[in-house]
Amino acid sequence: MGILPGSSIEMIRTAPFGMAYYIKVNGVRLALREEEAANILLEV
Amino acid sequence: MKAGGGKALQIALIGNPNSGKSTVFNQLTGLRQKTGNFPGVTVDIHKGKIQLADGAEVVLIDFPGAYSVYPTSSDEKLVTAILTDPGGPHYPDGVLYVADAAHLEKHLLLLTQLMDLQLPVVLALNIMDGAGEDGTVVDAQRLSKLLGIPVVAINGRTGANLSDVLSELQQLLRNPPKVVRRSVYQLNTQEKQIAEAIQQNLGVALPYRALLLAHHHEWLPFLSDEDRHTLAAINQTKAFHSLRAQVDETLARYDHFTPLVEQVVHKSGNAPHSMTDRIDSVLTHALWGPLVFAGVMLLVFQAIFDWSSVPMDFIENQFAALSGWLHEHLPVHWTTDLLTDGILAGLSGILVFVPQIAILFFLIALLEEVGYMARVVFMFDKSMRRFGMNGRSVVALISSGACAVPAIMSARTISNWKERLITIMVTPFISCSARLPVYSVLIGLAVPADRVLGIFNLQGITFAGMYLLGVVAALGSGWLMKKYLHSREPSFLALELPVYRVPHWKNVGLTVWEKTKAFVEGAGKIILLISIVLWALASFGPADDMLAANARAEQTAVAQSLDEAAKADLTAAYRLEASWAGQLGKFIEPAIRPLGYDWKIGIALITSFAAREVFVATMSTIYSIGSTDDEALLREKMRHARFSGSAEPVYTLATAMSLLVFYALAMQCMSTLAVVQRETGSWKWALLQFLAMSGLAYLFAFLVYRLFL
Repeated sequence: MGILPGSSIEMIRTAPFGMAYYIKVNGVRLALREEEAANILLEV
Repeated sequence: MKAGGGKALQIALIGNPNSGKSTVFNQLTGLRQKTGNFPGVTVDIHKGKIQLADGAEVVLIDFPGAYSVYPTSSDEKLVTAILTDPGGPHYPDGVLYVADAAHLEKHLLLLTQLMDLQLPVVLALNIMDGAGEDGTVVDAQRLSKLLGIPVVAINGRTGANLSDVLSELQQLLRNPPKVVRRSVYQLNTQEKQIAEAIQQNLGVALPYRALLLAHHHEWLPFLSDEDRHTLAAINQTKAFHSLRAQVDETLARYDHFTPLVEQVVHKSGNAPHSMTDRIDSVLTHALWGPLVFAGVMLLVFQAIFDWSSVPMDFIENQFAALSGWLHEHLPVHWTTDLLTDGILAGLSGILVFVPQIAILFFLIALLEEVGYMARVVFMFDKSMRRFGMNGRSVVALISSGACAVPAIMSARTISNWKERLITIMVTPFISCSARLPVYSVLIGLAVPADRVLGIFNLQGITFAGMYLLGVVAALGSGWLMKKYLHSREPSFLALELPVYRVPHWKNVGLTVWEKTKAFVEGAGKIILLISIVLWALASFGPADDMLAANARAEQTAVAQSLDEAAKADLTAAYRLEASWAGQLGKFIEPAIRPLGYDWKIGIALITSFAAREVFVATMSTIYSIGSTDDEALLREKMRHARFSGSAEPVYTLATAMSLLVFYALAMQCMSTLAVVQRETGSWKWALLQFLAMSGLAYLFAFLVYRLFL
């Protein structure tokens, strides 16, 4: 879905009942579960 | 290429979810489309005929949305399965690939994979309103040169340039490229060896297709056991690591086309879709999000519960009037009854659902089109996942408070099979509008209208309790099914939240039309059939018994000097008792006696399989007040009912509570059964649901009876 090494990721918010994230990757809005988001390595 | 041979050429319409693919499909085909299922899977297949510039007709097949040939959902699996099987019936002669120009890079992954499968492809670059907003300009001609395939910039919503797409497709089909395209992705040494081994052993022509067989040998449906075995052996000898290879391939593809995209896409603005961000800050807000959702659902509920009652009453009244007219003008004969009480009643029972289905799908399609549905999934993913379902299941569960039939159909958009199945299986537990009349009669009969704590009406509390029972049963069985139903399909939430946009009304209209048609044609036949069977059961019986029933009614009428109407009601009651349904009711009496029911309730249990509200009508008939429509009188009759041969009243609090619980939990609706059969593609799940729900109803009705006794 376009999350690649080098992509810039912006964290927008967590879901109202938790455990899911609303993120923005290269301008595309995505919803991810905690488990899937855990596979993303972040570099600040 | 397949030879002409009378068979129309097939064009596959492929693209990522949210590429605007379906809008393009609807623009191209309009009402000339048909919906069906791909064999073996209940994923919708939309096919439509389109005419090329030279007048030739080709079939356009709308494939489910996919991101790559490495699937994470059943939709994507289907796409991969079809495209790796050149001998299969759905293998396309050409591909129309739709990509969103605003996020071109992401859309090129699957495109380059299709190119490496040597599929003839035309790229339609969809410039949606979003793309213009942030100032994206794409040089289609240059992209065409760089990729080596025809590229047309289109606007799916207005239909602009779609005629150019058609002429490119015509070119492609008439003069298919003869030279084999150079692969975008170059297989590495290990992959080459594996592909070569597979090419030799299985006779596969293309290296990239061979590689995909190696990746997907475990599940591709067209492979024989022998092939599977061979492929597994090859993978093992070469120590092939599928996941790592997928990642490497994906990165290599991006390395290839990222520079291309930089050459053709020019962005000027840098505040993309800020409108969507502003809307989302409210609609997905921790507090406002669920509140707005509750408001939206209230509207949906109001629409299918209340607004649809106007056309529903109209349909029922028209059928009742027609039936009455036929009774007056046709001879008194069983064929007349078959026509009115069997066939017309069945047709009425089918058409009466149409307003609810049309209204619900109008609203759902609207929410989907606008982009709101993805937010609903995002917000409720966690809550529903606990019960084995999907964020979208919330909509199905709430809608089923009005009627389970459209609610079950709405589960079609859940792409994970297990989550969808659980949603379908538990949805009928939610108390629908057909249970209301039953609740009303029984609660009015058994529960005193006392107040608790000075404010709460005891009858009201019981009503609320029935609804709560349905919710608990639905979520509880979802939780159980999640534990015991195993699926190899991973549960996944990696969902795109699309840009909010004005709905495309043609898409909305076509969804409503297609769903309504699917219900009438698919489930309608079964409903009509069951309706006729139920009519026959209640109208015919052993000849001697039926004659005796007539005679007994005659005698009683004379003895009590009853008028014609009362005599007719009495005859109907005695005949129902003597009919096959009556015999069945008596036959099952020993089985339902532990729940506190007599054979009269037994008959009602059988006949209300047509629809739960039939309970009230059956009870009226059997207590000889079939011609009146008086709920209070019926309650009075029931209050005085005694078990045959004893002075024990039938309708004690215990029996009424037990019956309430039974009606809340049992699967007593032929229409739901028919829809479940259609939506799951087999009788297996429909029957399982019927047995499980009835079993649960029996168990709990028994417990409740003992509790109140």
